[in-house]
Amino acid sequence: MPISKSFLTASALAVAAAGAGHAQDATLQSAGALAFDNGNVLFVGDARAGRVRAFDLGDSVIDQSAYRLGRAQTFEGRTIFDNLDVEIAALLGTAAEDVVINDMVVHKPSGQIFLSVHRGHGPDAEAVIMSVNNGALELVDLAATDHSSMSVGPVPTEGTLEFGQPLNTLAITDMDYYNGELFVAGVSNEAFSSKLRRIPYPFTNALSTSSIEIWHAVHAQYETRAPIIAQTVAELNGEPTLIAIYACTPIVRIPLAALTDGAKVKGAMIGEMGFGNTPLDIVPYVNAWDGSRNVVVTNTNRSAVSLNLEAVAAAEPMPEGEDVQPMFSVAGVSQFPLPMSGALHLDILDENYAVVVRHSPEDGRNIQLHTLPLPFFFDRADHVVEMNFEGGPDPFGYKAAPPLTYN
Amino acid sequence: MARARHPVRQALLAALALVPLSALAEIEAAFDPASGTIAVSGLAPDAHARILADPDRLRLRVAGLDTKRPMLASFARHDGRIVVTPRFPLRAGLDYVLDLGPHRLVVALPAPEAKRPTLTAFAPAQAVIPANTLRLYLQFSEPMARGRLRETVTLLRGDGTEVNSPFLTLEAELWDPSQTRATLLLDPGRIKQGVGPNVEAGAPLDPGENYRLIVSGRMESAKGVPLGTEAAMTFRAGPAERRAIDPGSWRILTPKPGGHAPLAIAFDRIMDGAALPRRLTLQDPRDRIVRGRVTTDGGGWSLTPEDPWQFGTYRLVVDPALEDVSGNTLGAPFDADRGTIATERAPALLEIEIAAH
Repeated sequence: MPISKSFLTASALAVAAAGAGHAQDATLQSAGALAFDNGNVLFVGDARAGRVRAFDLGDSVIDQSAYRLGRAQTFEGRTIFDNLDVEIAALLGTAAEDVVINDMVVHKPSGQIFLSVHRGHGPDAEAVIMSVNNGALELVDLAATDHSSMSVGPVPTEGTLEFGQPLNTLAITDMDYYNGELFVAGVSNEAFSSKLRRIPYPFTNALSTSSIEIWHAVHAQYETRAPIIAQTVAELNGEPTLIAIYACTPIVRIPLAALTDGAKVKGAMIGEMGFGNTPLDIVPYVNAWDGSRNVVVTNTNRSAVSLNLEAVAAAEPMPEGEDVQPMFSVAGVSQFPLPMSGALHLDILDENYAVVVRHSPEDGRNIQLHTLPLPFFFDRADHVVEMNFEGGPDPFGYKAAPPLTYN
Repeated sequence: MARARHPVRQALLAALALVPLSALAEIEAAFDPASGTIAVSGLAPDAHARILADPDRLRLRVAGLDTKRPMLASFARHDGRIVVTPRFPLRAGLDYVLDLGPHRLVVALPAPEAKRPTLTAFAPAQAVIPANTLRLYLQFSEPMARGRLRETVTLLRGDGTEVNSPFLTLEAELWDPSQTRATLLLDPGRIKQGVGPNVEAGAPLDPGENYRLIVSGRMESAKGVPLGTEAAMTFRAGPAERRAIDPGSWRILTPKPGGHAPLAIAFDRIMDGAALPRRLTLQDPRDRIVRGRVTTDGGGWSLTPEDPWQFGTYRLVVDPALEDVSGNTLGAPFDADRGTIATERAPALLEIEIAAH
């Protein structure tokens, strides 16, 4: 087939309408990364619009404490939905293959689960927020909420528009709220740069960006331009600290106090997750058995791991500088493997349960919304273990527990 | 479209055809594309209120989905008919089942008439590109479906063997807003020297090797129409480019004053063509931006001005964010040494004298 090799041959320099796209239209053009503040404000990464949006859900979040999530004592999770994509497709009136679940977040005070969903794969795909309300799948009416938004994309200036439309976009890879601020990481389709955006909320139009230099053990060199793929903020020794996982896959620790506008910050690389893998989510949780604070990291090509935050705080930066050889196995801060693969999105529901959107361990085509008992993210039913067999050993007395029934 | 022949759906439609039709004989459901609503006529007027009073038996469903869940829709009486307003537009090519009390109707939406997409361009366009090229761009004629690149794009060596996972795996594919241009990011871990994947699996591209980037005919447009035929782009990998960009080594062809002939620059390498048009600007002797038509293929750049060239010193402003196809910038090569961070710079300025020859 004839293919022109004259790509990008023409672009008019003088294009008007620069600076457009700043209208405060609440309509989602896309719905990607999700985060909550400590109250009822849901943040949605709208990469198509180049904006981060905030929706105050107010009283429309509903307490979920009456909904039984499983039985953590006997390591039993609950499948809230089988074939979640089919159920969403039915509600939205489309084919299951037209449903894309982009992210999931739990509203911690109520335990309500929210999903960002696209209806279709094209540029005109409808972007919606759905919720799971005591086991019922619902569409969230964003029009009824207070909305504000803030640009995070490339600011259109003269010359950035071709045929009236900007071509460069920022794919928002992660977004976290901490103490009045949003931290937004992303990958551009036209430039290879890693700038962390730090945005006060309520939005004031202020945005500070920091470049972070890290010692990249896999690469055995200093870098500023590897993109952050997943991140979270946690207090380490009382100091708010960004824990970031970069593409190809160093774990880096940066005190928030260092991330001032225009700052060029040196992050401490404290671990390496091993090459050939991309992290999906990093989420803090507390191990109720021993009271320890941890983060769980889910991965595309490796099973999930847990990092203890005391260990993260205490970890010495990995050896760096000249003469240090590349390190491309798992290294640095201790990583505790968790029996969780096939997870697409993960968040913590409460002290006893996490929730995952996952491929069912028994049938990969079945996309489940499923709870996993903490602190091991382990559901006995997912695994072939003797304790599950009739007449098998029962050292923990699981079989004495009555059959699990749901309301 | 593939889904139109889905056997489960076909079976369901066949089953629907067996529903006794006597009760439906004169009842008709008509879809109005303009309003997106379905109007049901032919019901006895006294049946309207009775049907609408039982919301549990008012359901609009996608045919063939393995769930009883109905789609979000509202039902109302209007002009002697029952009008169904779906919350989201019905999808062309799908069939919907409408239950109104005892009546079951099928609303079949014909498949959309959509153009077959083609791959129209590929960048970098040069026959030989650096072995450490960071980004490839695919330009399609139609908006394309997201989420299909991983399964439809493959990179083959000259001998037909496949390069194992050459592209960075990201959850979100990198498209422009119109979804006609895709960015493929060659795995930076495999491009950087001495990196684990680079050491283990080798760089995605080897200098001197010929490559074919294949986009499978299964790649679909946003409207679900596949390319149909496979598209292939061939190129050869040349030596890696690991130097920072130095505008001093560009060749510049200066036009004569008074005319509209283009000012042309030949780079010493291939620049990343996507951002290039906005990374270079030309200022006239009075510091005003020169307007005109820019053309570039990454290897060169030229500007044909709207107004004639004047005598004097023009200045080419090079944005420090300018990248070549290997990700090198003005300040630093992509394979950075210690202290990269301090080298982020102000724009580079290149003075260009327009004078009578």
